[in-house]
Amino acid sequence: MSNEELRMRIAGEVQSAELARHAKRRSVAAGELFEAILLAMSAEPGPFRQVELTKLAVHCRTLWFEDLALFAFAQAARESENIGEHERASTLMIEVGSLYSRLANLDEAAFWYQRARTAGLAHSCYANAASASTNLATLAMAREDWSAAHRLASDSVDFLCRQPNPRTEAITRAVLILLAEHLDRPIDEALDHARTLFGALAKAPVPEQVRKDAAAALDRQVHKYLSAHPEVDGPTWKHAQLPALW
Amino acid sequence: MTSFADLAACETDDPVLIAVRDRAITLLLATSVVQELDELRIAVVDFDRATPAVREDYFTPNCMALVQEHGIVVNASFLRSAEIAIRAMGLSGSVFATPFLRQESEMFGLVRHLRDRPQEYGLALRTLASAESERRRRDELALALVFFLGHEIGHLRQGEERRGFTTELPEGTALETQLAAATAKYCRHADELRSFGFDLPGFETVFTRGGEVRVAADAVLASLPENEVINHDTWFRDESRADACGTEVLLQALQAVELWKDAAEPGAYLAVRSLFAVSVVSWFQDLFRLMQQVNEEVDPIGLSQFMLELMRDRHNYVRASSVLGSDHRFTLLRAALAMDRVLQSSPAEPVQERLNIDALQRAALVRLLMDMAVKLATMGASTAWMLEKDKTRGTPQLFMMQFESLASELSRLQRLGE
Repeated sequence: MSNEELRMRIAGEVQSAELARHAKRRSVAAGELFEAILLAMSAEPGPFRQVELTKLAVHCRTLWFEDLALFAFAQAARESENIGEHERASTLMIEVGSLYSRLANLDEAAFWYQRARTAGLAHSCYANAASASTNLATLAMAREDWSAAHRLASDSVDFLCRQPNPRTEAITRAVLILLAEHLDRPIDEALDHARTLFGALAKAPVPEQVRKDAAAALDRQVHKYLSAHPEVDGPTWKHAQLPALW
Repeated sequence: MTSFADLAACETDDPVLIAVRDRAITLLLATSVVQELDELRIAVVDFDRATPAVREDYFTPNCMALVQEHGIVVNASFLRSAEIAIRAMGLSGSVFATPFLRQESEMFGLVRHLRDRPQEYGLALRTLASAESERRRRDELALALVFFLGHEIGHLRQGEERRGFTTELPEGTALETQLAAATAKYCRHADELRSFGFDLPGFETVFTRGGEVRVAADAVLASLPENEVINHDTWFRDESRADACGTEVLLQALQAVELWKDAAEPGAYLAVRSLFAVSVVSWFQDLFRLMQQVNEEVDPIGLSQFMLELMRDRHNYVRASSVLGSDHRFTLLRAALAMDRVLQSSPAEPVQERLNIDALQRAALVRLLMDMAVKLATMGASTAWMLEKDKTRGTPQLFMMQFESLASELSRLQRLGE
C-alpha cells in the first residue's frame, strides 16, 4: 500500500473513531484508533511513519486514550531516533514520561524522562535535556528526595545556558526556589532564581500558578530571614533585593 | 487417542510466556502443597498449533486438571489475556489514575482490544515496558499463573478429573433461557455472597427458608432433575475447595523469601495487583458479552440501559444469570477472598506504606465492584416469585434495580480514604 493510500485509510479510521465517540461509543472509538495506529505501523520505516504516529499520539492523548497515546508516542520516538531526528525523539520521550506522570506511574515517568535527558545530552539537544531533567527533579520532590531534586534542577540551569528555553527555565527556577526552602539554603540562592524568574523571564509562557507558588515559597524564606535578622529594615531590604516583585 | 506427551509439540514458543511459566514453576516448587505431590506435569499450550486429535483430547479455554496424567494444561491464549489485563492495568500507578476505571466504556474498550486484536495489543503493551516494569509485570503474571495452577492442583488432590479454572461466558455463547437453571444458579450465588457479608439490606426475605420468595424459588427448582441440582451443588463445593488450595499455594509461594529477594516489589503487593487486574478485566469481559447479547450496542446501552432492559423484561434476569458462572464462585469474590488472605498474611518482607495503601484500595474496589453481582443474584433469586406475583396480579409490576457505575464506586473509594 502506498503512503498516500495508508494516509487515507488512517484518516478514515480516525474519522470513524470521531463518529463513534460523538455517538458515545467510546469503546468502539478505542478499537478504531488502535486500528489507525496499526496502519501507521505497517508503513515502511521512515519519516512518513514517524509523522503519522506522532499525529495519532497527539490525537489519542487529547481524547484521553492514554494507553494508545503511550504506544504511539513511544513508537514515534523510536522512529525518530532511527531516522536521526534526535531532537524530536527526545521531545517525544518527554511526552511519554508526562503521560506516565498523568497516570501516576512515577517509575515509568522517571524512566522516560531519564531516556530523554540522556538522548538530549548525547545529541546536543540541551533544551530537551533540561526539560527532562526538571521533570525528573519534580519526581524526586514527590519522593521527598530533595538533594537529588536540587542536583537535577541545577543541571537543567546549566543545560539551558547552552540552549535557552524561557519556559523550561522559568519552571526550573521556580522549582529551585521551592527546593531552596526545603533544603534551607542561604536566602541569596532563592533570591538569585527569583530575580531571573520575575525579571528576565517575567513574560515566559508558564501557568500563573508556577509563579504564585514560587512567590509564596520566596515570601516564607524572606520572612524567616528577616525574623532571624531584626536589625534589617524589611520593606527597604525587600525592595532593594527584588524591585520587580516588592 | 493422544497422551500428555503429545502436548510438547504445541507448547507455547512465546518467550515471555515461557519465562513466566518457568518463574511460576520455581515458585510452585517452593510450596509444600506441590512438594507433597508424587508428580506434576504442566503444559502451556498454543492450541492453534495443536493437531485436531490433541485439541479433541486436551482443549480447555483456560486451565484443566488431568488426574490420570498428573498434569495441568493451560491454554496460552488464556494466559495472554491475563497478561494483557495485568499490563494494561499496570500502566497506572494508582486505581484513581487508571484510565480504564474511569467509566464502563473505557473498560469495554480494553475488552474490545482483547477480543479483536489480542496479539497486536498485547505486543504493543509489551514494547512499552521498561526493564524494571517488565520484571514486575512478569512476576504479577507468574503469580496469577501460580493461583490458576494452585486451583488445578486442588482438583488433582481431590481426584477431580478435567476440571477447569473458570466458567467463562465465551464469545457467541447463548445466554441462559431456563428459569429453573437460572434460579438454581442465583440462589447458590446469593447464598454464598451473603455468607461472606455481601448482602442487600431490605431483601432478607429472599434468603429466609420457608419465606414466600424462597418457596417460589424452591417450586421452580423442583422442576430440575434432582441429580442436576446435587451435581451442581457438589461441583460448586469442589471448585470452592480448589480455590482454597489455589490461595494456599499462592500464600506459600509468597513466603518463599529467597525467591523474592531480587524482585522489583514485594511479592504480596504484586499478588494483589495481579488478582485485581485479572479479576476486574475478566468480570468486564463477561459483562460486555452479556450486554452485547441483550442489546448489540454495548456502549450506548451502558449500565442505565441495561437496568432498563432488566426492568422491561424479567426474563432478562434469567439471561443475565450467565455471567455468574455455573460451578465456580463469582469471579470478583474469588479474587476478593484471595486478596484478603494475602493482605492478612505476614509479608516475607516489609511493604512500603504507599504500596500498602494501593493494595488496600485495590482490594476495596474489588469488593465495591461486587455491587452488580450481589444485586443480580438477589433479584435473580426472587425472579420466580416476582413472575408468580405478576401472574396473580394479571399485570407485570415495574421494578428497577439501580447498579452503581465504576465512576461512583471510585468516588466512594476516594471518600473511604478521606
